[in-house]
Formats: sequence, structure tokens, C-alpha cells
Amino acid sequence: MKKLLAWKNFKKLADLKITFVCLMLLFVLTLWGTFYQYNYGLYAAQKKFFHSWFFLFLDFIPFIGAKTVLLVLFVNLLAASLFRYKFKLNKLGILTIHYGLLFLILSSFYTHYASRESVIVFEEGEELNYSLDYFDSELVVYVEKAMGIREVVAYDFNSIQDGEDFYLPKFNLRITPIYFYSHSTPGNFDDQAKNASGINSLLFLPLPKERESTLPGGVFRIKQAEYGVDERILLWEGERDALALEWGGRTHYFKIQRKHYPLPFSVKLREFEKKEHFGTSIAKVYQSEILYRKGDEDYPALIAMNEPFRSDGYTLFQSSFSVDESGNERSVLATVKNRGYYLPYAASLIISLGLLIHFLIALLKRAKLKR
Amino acid sequence: MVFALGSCTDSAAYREYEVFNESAGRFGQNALLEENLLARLRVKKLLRDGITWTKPPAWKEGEAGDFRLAAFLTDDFLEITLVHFPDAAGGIRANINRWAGQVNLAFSPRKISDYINDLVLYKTSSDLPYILINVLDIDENISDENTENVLVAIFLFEDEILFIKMLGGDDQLKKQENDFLNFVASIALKK
Repeated sequence: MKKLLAWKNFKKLADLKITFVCLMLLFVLTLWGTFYQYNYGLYAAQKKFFHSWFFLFLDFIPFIGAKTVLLVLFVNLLAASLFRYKFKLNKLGILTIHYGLLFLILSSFYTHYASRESVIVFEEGEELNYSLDYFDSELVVYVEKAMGIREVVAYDFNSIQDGEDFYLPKFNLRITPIYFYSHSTPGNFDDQAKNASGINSLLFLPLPKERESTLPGGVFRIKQAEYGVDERILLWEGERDALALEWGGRTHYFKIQRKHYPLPFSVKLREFEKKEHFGTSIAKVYQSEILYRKGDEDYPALIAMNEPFRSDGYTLFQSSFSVDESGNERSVLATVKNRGYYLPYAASLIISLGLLIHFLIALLKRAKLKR
Repeated sequence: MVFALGSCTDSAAYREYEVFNESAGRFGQNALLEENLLARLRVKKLLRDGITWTKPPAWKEGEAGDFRLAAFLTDDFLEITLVHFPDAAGGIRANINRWAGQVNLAFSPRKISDYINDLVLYKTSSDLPYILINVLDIDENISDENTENVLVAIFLFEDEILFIKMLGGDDQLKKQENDFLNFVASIALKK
């Protein structure tokens, strides 16, 4: 009986009123997002209206986000496809459109969740071919190659386990964590570990509210059997310099840093421009003039608040800027690696196919009636 | 399914990768930059196998010579020369200094590095890569005071470098700039 009741309820979800409300909400969110984008930029608008389940209007009135609306619409369409339209040849077009729409929503969720978001922070004249993770860190060992290229071996800091060694095959290096913290600060007692900045030890700190402010660190024992290296080292993400150790005629550098994601291209910041609202220090417009470089291809491009730059499956948004203590401005580009970006195109094709079938069926019906 | 697919990220515990180091990134790869640029500019073809071009109608043929592959004269007596030298002829930086000297200018190494770092690789209509040097663009502060300028397109072949150079008054150069750029874009290897 209960099952039957649930089944009936699910059927109710196919109600057209739900579809109508969802479409109206999407209309409102799109319109609102478009106006918001004008002042706050595309990236901020996407985050607030389209990548959220709920958001706060005027900082205290909750309003539904596009993710929630799309989830409800997905269930509504699924229910409609299952119950409202029984499979018949003359309903083939309608059903194809519905399944195309379902696929479109599903693929949007996939591209949203599978995309990886990182950040590029650079100052004028700087050229980078990697982006940084907002939150996660890595323990890296690297050597400097010719032409300013750094060869890096990285181990995800979150994957380090208490009492468990990990091995970096590239340098035949075994690392044993003595102790490590997700958030830490330099301490006073002497831990007898080598360090690049004269830090003696680390103290545990509770995780900060802002996850991006965490400073992981730890004391590790490293062993390189081939060259008889056996050292106790201290690494902390707050350090500017890397710890240098020599073996096999090369200098190997050790560091804890924000995760680096190599890009298939490089971007150079040629000029960063910030305009402020008259009489205030509030930014009105900020934009980056960049030089895109890949292989033997390079061209200038502008990334503004409402003009992202797209290439190689990546989208670079002008998300913000920062000013350091010396007054140097740095441009901040949110870097999104889009996975499955072709899926919405495939969904659109299915929908178009459905429309075509539907019109053809209607045409055939009309022709039949005339006869 | 969505969440299963979403978990297919490259978040492996162990990774190997290559990136620019801080100095390469921050200071535009200064010394390394020229090597990079030359490597990207070089085509695995021989200049001696011959090249072709389309001359703007207003240009008249001038005299060719040992290193001078061809020369042209404009109506207002500007000379455009196509000269070739072995390998990279001392590199881009050294030649920029030389051309600057020809119009009585001198730039700091940092200014030249910044300029080289900003150079864009163009392609002719037949896909040959080249770069364009406009000496007065190297330092904006000098530009206003100087009346002479040099515009050079650089092509790099397997064993030779080709400079297409136009030197003269900046106003004259600006008048001829379009013809010059079209001429450069018409350079192609003989088939």
C-alpha cells in the first residue's frame, strides 16, 4: 500500500504546473543573473545564481538557486516521460525531446561537478603555464631543467597517512611522515630537522574558517638509497623558499605548496586595468590583457568581468584582483577545466532531432487528413 | 551516473609534471626567452631552396648583393631589404641593439627582454612563422622624441636567418607599413 502511495506521488511529479513554475524560476534567475553580471562579472553571477542550491538575496532573504530548480525540473521531466507519454510511434518526437532535455540537465550536472576549478594569480609581465588549487596542497620535490622549466614530482598532502611511507619513483625517494598537520604554525622547540627558513618545529592549529587559509606542514624522513641520502626535514607551506638537498650531482628542492595544475598553454599578463567607482576605492571594472601562448601559436586576448577567455577545454574568468603590501596589483583569473563540454551539444542535437521527428509526424498527419 | 562520472578527476596522490619556475614566469624567461622564441620561429626548410613574394605595385626593384637577397625602393625613397645571414646572426637581442644603434637609440637589457617577451609569432599566408620588430615600440618614452625608426620582419630557416628591413623616418614608415606587412605576409617557400 505504502509503495503504491509512493508510486502515485511520483506520478504527481509529472504535473505540468511544476514544469511551469520551474521554467518561470529559470526565467527569473537568468534575467536577474544577467543584470547582476553587468556589475559583478560573469564569474560571480554564475556562482551566485547558477552554481548554487540556494542563495541569500540582500544577504538575508533566501532564494532558490538554479541547481535546485534544475533538479526539480529533471525529476518532473523524468516523471512526465515515464507516465504522461506512453510510447507510441506518433509520440516519438515528443519523447525524444523529453529525453534530450533530461540528457541536457544531466550533462549540465556532470560538466558542473566534473569541472575542476583553480586559479591563476599573476602580476604584469608575469607568464604562467599552471594554475593553483584553491584549497589543497601537495608535497613536491623538483629539479630545475634548462629553459626555466621545473620538473616536479608531487604527492597530494591529503593522501599522506599517519605512519605510512610513500614513495616517489621519479627520484627513487622514500618519505616517512614523522608528524604532519593540515594547519600549523612554527614552534619553538628544536625538532632537529633541516629546513630552508630556520623553522625548528611546527605546532598544530585548528582548521581556520576559510579553507584557503590553511597552512599544512610536517616533519618527514627522506631516504634515497642509491646515494645514501637519509635526512629529517621540516616543510611548511608558509615558507617562501624550498629546502635544497644535493645528490647525484643535482640539487633537489623540497616544498609544500598549493597544488599546481599544468596548463596546455601559457598566459602572460601584459596589462591589468582597474577602474574604481568615482570617489571610492570600490572596483567598477577590472580586466586583464593577456598574451596566450601555445606551441608556435600566440595571440593577445582580453579577459574582462563579462568576457571570459576559452581555449583547450579551459575557461579563464576575471574573478578578482589583489594588491600586496608594496601596492603591486595582481590579477586573479578563475580557471575552469571543463570536462564533458561536448555533452550539452550532444543533448541539443537529440532535442533538435526530436523536434524534427515531431514536425515530420505532424506533417504526415496533416497530409493524411487532407487525403 | 553523474556523480560517478564526476569522480573521474586527475586527483591521483602521485603526479609528475613540468611548469615554468618562478624566475621564468616572473621575469619573462629573459635569457631563456630568446632561445624559446628562436626554437618556435625556426622552420625545417632551407632558405637557399628559394622563396617567393608578391611585391606591392608601387615598389621598384633595387640592387641585390651577396647577403642581400633582394631590395626595393618606395616612391618616397625608402629602401626595403631582404638580407640573410648564417644561423641566427647573433640572435634577436644583438640585432635589436644593432638596429637601435642605426637610429641612434640604446635600450636597457630589461626593456629589450620585456619587448622580446611580448613578441607575437605571426604566420604568412603560406604558414611561415615570423616576428615583427618595431624599434620605436621597445620604449614608449623614447618613441615621442625620435623621428627615425626601423621595422624588421624576421624569418628563421634551418641554417639561415632572413631579415626584411625597412629603415627611415617614422612618418614615412607609417605610410608604407601596410604595404610592408602585406609584402611580408606574402613570403612563401618555392614549391
